[in-house]
Amino acid sequence: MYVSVKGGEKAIEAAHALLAEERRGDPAVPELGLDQIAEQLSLGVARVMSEGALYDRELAALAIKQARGDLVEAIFLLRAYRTTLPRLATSLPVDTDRMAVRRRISATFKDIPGGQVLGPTFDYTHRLLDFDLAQPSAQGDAARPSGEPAPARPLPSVARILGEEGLLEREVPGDDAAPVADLTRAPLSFPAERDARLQALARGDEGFLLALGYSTQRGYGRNHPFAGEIRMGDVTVEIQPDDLPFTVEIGDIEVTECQMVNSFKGSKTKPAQFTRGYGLTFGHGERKAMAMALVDRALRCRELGEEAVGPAQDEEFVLYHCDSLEASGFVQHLKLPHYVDFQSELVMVREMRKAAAEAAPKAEAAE
Amino acid sequence: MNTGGYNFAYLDEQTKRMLRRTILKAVAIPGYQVPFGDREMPMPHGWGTGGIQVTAAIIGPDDVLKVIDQGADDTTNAVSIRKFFAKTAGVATTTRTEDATIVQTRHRIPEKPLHEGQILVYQVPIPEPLRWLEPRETETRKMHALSEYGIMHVRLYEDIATHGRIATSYDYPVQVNDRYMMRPSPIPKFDNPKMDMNPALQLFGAGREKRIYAVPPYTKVKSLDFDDYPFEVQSWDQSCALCGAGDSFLDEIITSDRGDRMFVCSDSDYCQDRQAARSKEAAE
Amino acid sequence: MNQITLQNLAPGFQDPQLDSQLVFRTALQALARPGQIQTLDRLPEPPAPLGAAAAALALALCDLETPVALSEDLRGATFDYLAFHTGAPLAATVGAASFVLVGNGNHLPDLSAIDFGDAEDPERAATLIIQVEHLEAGPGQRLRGPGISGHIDVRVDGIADAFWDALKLNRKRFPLGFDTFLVTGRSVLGLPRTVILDAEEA
Repeated sequence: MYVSVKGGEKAIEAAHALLAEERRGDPAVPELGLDQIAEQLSLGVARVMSEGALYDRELAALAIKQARGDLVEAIFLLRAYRTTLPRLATSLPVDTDRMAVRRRISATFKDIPGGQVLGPTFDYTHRLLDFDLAQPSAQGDAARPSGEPAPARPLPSVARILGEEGLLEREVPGDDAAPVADLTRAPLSFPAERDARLQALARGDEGFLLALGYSTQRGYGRNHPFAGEIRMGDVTVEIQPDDLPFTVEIGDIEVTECQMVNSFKGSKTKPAQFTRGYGLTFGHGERKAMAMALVDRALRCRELGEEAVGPAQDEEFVLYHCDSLEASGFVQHLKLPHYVDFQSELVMVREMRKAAAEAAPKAEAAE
Repeated sequence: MNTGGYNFAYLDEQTKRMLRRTILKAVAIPGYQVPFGDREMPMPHGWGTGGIQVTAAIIGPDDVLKVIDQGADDTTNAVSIRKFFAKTAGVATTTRTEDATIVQTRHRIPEKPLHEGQILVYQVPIPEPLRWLEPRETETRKMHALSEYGIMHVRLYEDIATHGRIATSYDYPVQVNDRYMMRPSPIPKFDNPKMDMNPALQLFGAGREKRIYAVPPYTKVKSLDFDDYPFEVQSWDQSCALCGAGDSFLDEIITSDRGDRMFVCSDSDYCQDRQAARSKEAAE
Repeated sequence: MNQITLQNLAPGFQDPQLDSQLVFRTALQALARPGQIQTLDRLPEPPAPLGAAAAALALALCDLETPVALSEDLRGATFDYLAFHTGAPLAATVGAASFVLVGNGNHLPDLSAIDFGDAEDPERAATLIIQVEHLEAGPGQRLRGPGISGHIDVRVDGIADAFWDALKLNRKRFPLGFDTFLVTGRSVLGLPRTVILDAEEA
């Protein structure tokens, strides 16, 4: 005799217990501390902060630990926490020209004022597994090589240098008093302005943007990019309290900025000049910042009078599909029960087959 | 698990106000999808975040909540959502349709008729009825603005030409109050007639797609059809193996690896009531 | 925030969270069941001439994101009260308001100037909250439409005839058009844009 399945609650509790056990792994192995994750898995932490849209290394580390290293799951945890936080103030735009730079490179000029600063990069490492890392280092902290010291003076951006010659389109400063789009308060509407687009891309899934950026390089909406400048380091976040004549520094955050410079032959409305794509991430997130800059530029096709031919130029396609929470949720919801819909389809398919079977002999007889 | 302190029904008050204003506009424009600022919820998109946000915006301490998935109160996600509200809003929950003030549902409308004052909250994956025909929101918004629904009629007509019938068995499109075309969410078309002139208020939440829509009580909801191919619902040759119901939506259960099967009510509350009535009769 | 005198800072809701929820549910019921008079349980104590029912709706629904327009009799103390409790900004024009509050239904603002929304965004249309003298079930206006089983009769005292004319026009504009709450004492009557006036039969 069939009895309908009961005990969903017990099953869920059991699943949670199993999950906790798996998360911990072998109890003989020391448990990870948040400081270890924040310090030694810092690029994972940076990605979770960026796409989680919350700058907090410790919470991002907690999310990574709780998510067992699944960064998309960790991003979800951080976002769901972030959405419950009160909004205390709106910061002023960060001034990346005043960044305390730890890495700064340009692919467009051999030398630039302030110089190229290689900084901590994988770029010229040989991707050989370093078996020395398999064991904790015997020297401990003493073995830490000192990196290049951060230059004390601000480095003018390459974009500024090109801009002075009129070769690069000017970024027209927006009205600081005008409200900035905020996708977490109001849904996307189309055509989307650049502020909303950049916000969506900054929160967007790195893998998705990487593939889209790549597709523009292969001809699906080519926009002739050069990495004008990539810089990484600390910037100061300031707020302007109401009715006070001065600004207040509320802290420093590490960011990576990419200014992509794209050659542009001009259109009916614009003279030939270089145009820009922009990418920014929390922490050190170079791959994401570059991919974001490529896609930002691709999405500017409408304003620059270019025909939209590639997926990366399709605003609705890109912006509606770049969020990992939305994509991951909807793909995975297929594992929830759908048996009512499936039963509906079963009934219909059976009826259609029955109707076809009844019709077939008649058709034969008629012939 | 230590989850610290969250607000009543999880959402902050400003978010609730935004949702409430959205819901009021949805009621004033029956069947029209009102955009809203979706919030991340502590469960994934696809798990009912739209319905959960609607419920969180309307629910109060005096409400009695019922949650069903596939018609049943005991499916895992229904259990999970019910628990969420019991924890964050401290509300009473029930499995009895007639006792609930709010019923949140995924994929079914309860078999027992709803009454005035009740609110049925649907979880909606894709709110746009024209989406499979036109993937662009910019285009479908225009079509709704102009009541330009020809492509849907063409599609249904093509079904008839190819299959001899309208080959849509769930999420079957409706027209609300003779104006907006609306997607009823993936309920079986069996449930469509229940939407028409229902005394309860019906609210629809699509979180990932950021849309809320509504059908007020006593509002005309017409399933699309043609004069010569009228709308009709599923029927079964069997009746429920547990309660004997011949008028409810049946789930097919595979009972052996030889392919033996049985049919039982998808609505667990309806089925249990009928079973209880039967055993009472038998005892008397 | 500019000079707000203490006298204008009359109490809002006793329990903002739960009172807002209850008031919203009453408003929802009012709009879902047009013509059926609903009763508000939780009332704030606003400065006259703003009544408790209008204040309750405003406190439950308005905030920083909803510009409000006020009829002339409500400017001053009422605005200070609403600004303090909700943070809602004063709309530059009636047409820019999400909510239009009218202190006395006999003196209506120009109802053709308010935002009706547009074909792609009908939800942008304004919500009117109008204080009237009396609301009662029974012969007066006969209403039909979504939310009404058959028809319903309601008597409204203290509203200019122009309102009913505007409501007829409003219906023709559907899906554009304003949505209205008529209020007095503890009572709320919802008149969404779907309401059809059946004047001949009344």
